[in-house]
Amino acid sequence: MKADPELERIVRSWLREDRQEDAERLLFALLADVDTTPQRQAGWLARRIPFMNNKSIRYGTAAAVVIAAALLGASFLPRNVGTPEATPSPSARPLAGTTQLVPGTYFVHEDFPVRITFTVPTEGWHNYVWERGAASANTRALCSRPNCDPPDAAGVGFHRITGLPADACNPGFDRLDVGPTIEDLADAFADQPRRIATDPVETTLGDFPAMYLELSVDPEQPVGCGTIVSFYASNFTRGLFGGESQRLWIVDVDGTRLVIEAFDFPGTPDEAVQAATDIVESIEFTP
Amino acid sequence: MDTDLVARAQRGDKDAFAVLAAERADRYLAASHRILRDLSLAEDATQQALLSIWRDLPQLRDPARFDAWSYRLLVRACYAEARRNRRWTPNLTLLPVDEPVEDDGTRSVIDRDQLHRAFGRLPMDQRTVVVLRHYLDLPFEGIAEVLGIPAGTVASRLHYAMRGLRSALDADARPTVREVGP
Repeated sequence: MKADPELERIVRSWLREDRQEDAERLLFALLADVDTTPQRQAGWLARRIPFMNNKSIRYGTAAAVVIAAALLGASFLPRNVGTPEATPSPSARPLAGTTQLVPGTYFVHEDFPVRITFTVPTEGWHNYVWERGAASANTRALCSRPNCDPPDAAGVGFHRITGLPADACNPGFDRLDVGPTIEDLADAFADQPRRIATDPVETTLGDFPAMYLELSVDPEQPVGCGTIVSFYASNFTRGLFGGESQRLWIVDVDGTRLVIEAFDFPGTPDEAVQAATDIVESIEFTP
Repeated sequence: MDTDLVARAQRGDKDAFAVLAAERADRYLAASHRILRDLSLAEDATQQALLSIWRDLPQLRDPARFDAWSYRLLVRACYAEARRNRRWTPNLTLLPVDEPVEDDGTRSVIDRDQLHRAFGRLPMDQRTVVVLRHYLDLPFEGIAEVLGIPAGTVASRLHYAMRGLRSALDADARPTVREVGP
């Protein structure tokens, strides 16, 4: 059999053409089905049990009799009387992949320290991969535009912050003390040089205690200020654009400090800002 | 591959399964679309395959073999979907043409539509092998495991598929032959 490398190359290239199959809607239906579909237990596990003792046989036989009696009895009952139909419950989907999100409930990937469930209220939002793979355990985000960039995107981020640069405009090795509590981190943000910050206020998010503050960047960045850095989450660096605004909820979820961020730009439409707010307000934490 | 995630899904963890499904659904849909040549059938096949994966996951002995096992269920779902919708099957067999076609310098630029037509004319089992090999990049042994056939059969099926594609493309490239009446 002779290979035809030219044809193989053409076929591979053709098969990989972007046809934009989007499985998002399919997943929505699937996960509703999963809620009502029991798994088939492994036959090979059962076969591993080499024998049953007498007691097992007696109990097994008794159980079989009970089940048979129940089935026989059930066959004489009128059907569909007084038994409500099983209705699929709306399932939360993972915030994963790179496809556009449909409105619905999502949860942040299971390798994040706390399960965060939230609702995307409108069309057009995307899962945003800040740094593919590198910082997955410390940061997640979704945006109203695929690229999250100015002039008109809005976004929501979930972070485990590990440090703040001492100077947001000249991020070097110096770090601010972020302490262990949500108050410590809020104070550090409020005191960060080159940022415009509101005073932190106490609040709650998802029924957990939180500190809230708003931060912005002067649209006319100071001379010599190239990249403005907001914070670090392990090896992830959160850079900012000129004019970018952040609303931060620093939350204490049973001892785990999380930061929920809603961000936007001067050109972001009000609807997108509102959608970001709605997403944050819908958040539920499961420690 | 995250075998821990697979193991958790095997124990009935729906969140873990949702992550597995979300990470793979686009690829499964793309593969089944290429096998079935119909997006709506491919969506049905993918959904059915993912549901079968969830239902039968406890029966998978080795979580590390999840991908090969899940592709098997996906291919099986494609075949089932195809059987339910026979309208898509042209089921034509092309006779290979052995003599080479003269290269007029435009051979490397093969029209996408030609390839689309030619691929659509292949029997489904050949299309499946082409997709597993040239889209999902599975080795021959992997394809054999997915399809439950010997690796040698995979090789010959792929050979005939590629030969059929080449023949179809060459035939399309030839000027139309006018039928001659009696």
